[in-house]
Amino acid sequence: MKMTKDQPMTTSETQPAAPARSRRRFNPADAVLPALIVLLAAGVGIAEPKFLTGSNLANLGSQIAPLLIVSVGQAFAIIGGGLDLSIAAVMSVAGVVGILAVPSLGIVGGVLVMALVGLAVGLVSGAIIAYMRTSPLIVTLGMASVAQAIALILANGVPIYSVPPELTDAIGFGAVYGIPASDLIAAGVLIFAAVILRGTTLGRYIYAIGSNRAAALKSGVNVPFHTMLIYGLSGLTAGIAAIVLTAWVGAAQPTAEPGITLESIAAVVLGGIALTGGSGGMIHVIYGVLILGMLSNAMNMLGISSYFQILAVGIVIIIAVVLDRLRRKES
Amino acid sequence: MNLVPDVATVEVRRTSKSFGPTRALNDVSIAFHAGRVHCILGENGAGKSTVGKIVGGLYAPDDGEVMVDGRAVALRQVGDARRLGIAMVYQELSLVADLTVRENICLGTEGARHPFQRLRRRQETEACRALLSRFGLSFDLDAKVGTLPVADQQLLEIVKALAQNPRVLILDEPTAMLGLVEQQRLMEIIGELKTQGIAIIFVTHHVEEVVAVADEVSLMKDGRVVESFPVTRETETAFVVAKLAGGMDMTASHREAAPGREVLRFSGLRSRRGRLAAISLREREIVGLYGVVGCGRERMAHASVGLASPGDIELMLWGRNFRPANPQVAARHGVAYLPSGRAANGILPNRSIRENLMLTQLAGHQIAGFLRHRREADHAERQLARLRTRYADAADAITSLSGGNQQKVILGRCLAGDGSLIVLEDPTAGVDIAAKRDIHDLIRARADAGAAVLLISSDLQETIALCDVIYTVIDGEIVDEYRPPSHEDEAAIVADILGHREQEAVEAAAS
Repeated sequence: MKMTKDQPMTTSETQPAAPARSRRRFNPADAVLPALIVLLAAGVGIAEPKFLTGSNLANLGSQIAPLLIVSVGQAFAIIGGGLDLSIAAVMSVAGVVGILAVPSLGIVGGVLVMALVGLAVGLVSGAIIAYMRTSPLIVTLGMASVAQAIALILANGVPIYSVPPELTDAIGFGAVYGIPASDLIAAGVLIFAAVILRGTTLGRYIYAIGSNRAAALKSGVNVPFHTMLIYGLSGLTAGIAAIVLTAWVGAAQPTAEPGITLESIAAVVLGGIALTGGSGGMIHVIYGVLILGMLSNAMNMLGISSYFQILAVGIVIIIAVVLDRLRRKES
Repeated sequence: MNLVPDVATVEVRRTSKSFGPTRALNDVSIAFHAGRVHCILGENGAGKSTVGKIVGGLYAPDDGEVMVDGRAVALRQVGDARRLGIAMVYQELSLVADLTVRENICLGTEGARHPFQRLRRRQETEACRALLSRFGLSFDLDAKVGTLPVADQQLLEIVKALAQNPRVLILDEPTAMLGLVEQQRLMEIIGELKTQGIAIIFVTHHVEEVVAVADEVSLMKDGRVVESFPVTRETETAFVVAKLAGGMDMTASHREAAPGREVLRFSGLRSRRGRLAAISLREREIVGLYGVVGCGRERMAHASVGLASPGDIELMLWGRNFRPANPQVAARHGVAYLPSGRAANGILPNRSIRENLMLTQLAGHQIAGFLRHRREADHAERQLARLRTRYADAADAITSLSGGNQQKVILGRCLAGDGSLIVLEDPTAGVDIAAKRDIHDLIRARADAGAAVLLISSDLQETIALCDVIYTVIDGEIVDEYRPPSHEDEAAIVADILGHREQEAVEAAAS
């Protein structure tokens, strides 16, 4: 690093002792969510013993994979001080464009197209947000409408069922040692994201921008460029989620998972990432998605109508923001 | 004695800069040389900070150029200036509260060629340690910055700028938030940097600071440089003081009015000497609490307006127990409050001067919740005149005013009610000398009219000039009482708040 190059360290009598490194202490509040997850699993398992069977857990895994993947992108946007409301629409357009590209580009080509469409749409939103200094809320909402419309136009408003069976077999229903392939992809996304957040300059800048944009700017951080990347990554996760969803459903739907945007926000906030930005990590995404996914899976098993599930998501997201508020009041 | 090199390290040439209708800089040329401290001195709104921010790359000039080593450079963003070795310490804190001390110091110095470059934590830690020890400072590198006291954050801000190993260091009112100890520390650091050949641009409106550190001074007024000259001899120092002070009478001028009934009483205070366990504020009295940032005086002020729990301290207002739950309750009991931090806690930045002034006075200007705009406007105009505010139209945004005039408006808001207790925090922070004099007059007038005033100011001169009595505070304990304070007490007051008289106090208590 350049600041030590020219000045040798001076040691003098007045030099203070290096302060003791503060160890990360165990905070009981950190255990609340894992405990809740265990309790929830146990409670549902008692009410419905089939919940804890291997096949249902694999099923739960497949169900939550898309949400897990997009929640990673949502977490980037929220940690960076923004929000991405275009996730569901970006998933739809990525899935539709990718499947339409399969006849000319092959399966691998189609899958890559899905990821790239997601990335591209995200970068466009990000560029508008970052360089035009516009509100992420409105830009991504507008982009949601644009992406949704393109998906509907390209698909003529109906699902495209020409998903290659190889794709369905490999990603949709494939498994390694009983772990669904979609979850392996989700795990890969999580690890990739965690490395970015904790280990790269981009990660540090995301925290800095989300925590105090002006300070990051004054520190010489290229704030617009990194802001654009945040939404690029968020779009990329939507594209990857489109791959998993398309393979699992066996169709590219022009309106795939319309509720997933709100669910991803709910999962991220419920998991403990502050809506004000600047804090939180991937472990929080896992907590939030697990809780939401288990709730939804359990309600399915107990035969509760999907209308009530929508109700539950709404209530959970409101509880999540109240918890978010209370958490910040404590500190 | 440094010789002035032929080529300036940094120079602004014929630069102008406007913000909307306001011309912040008008054809300004100043040269800054290596190994010299160049003070830019002037009242608020004179354009001092704008010069700093142009050199620092935060603002691009509308006209004119910035030269580095004699060559014109384009500074489009802060990163451009940094690459040329220019670092800036901003007046307002610009640290990221959620990142650690280490991460803040290194923020922007990672030298990333691409966004996915790995962070080198170990090198960062070593570099931070070396840097801190070089300046004899001690910080827990893994502490979140948001948990540090403000004075530490301000010092950290300076350390962060030094982490870039700059050739040019811009300090914009660096002492605004510092206690005396930290100020002294800063002056030592500046002295050391000077010997290393760093060009220092020191933006301030404190004449004493100029006298202490400057090699050269540029006086600014209304966006222009009035004159630039070297500071070498005592006579010239006196000349600067005379030039800027403009007859400002900072000697203690104690008011004749006799104090009346007791308004507020703090009891249950800790005091090494035992006898100062209670402090009372009476009508027509201005009482100052003085100490370093975080010494506990803020807590006393906040407890009296309902922003903090009083803890062990007991408050009595008009002889009755007083524990306001929030500032609204406090206001209902006649306690008015002027918070420090004008930008963060004072003004509504995108609202008009009138709305800012009348925010808490709407009761008299409405019928069933509908505002009587004409009446409100007339009232506002009269108040603004009384506050000696300089403004074009009361409907303009408050941010179109200079800092001093903004401060008068929010002080006016605070003084408008018929509060019997006025709590003031740094009422003249970041305000020019003329506005300061006006504000002091307004405060004295309010006290003469019967209010009890509690003053918390980081400015010792101001505290001595305004207060009828000063209590010194350290670590939540009252050290001593000065009634009435005078400039001869300065040394004793400083010794009190630094804990130098602790030993003596313990002995006195024992005897």
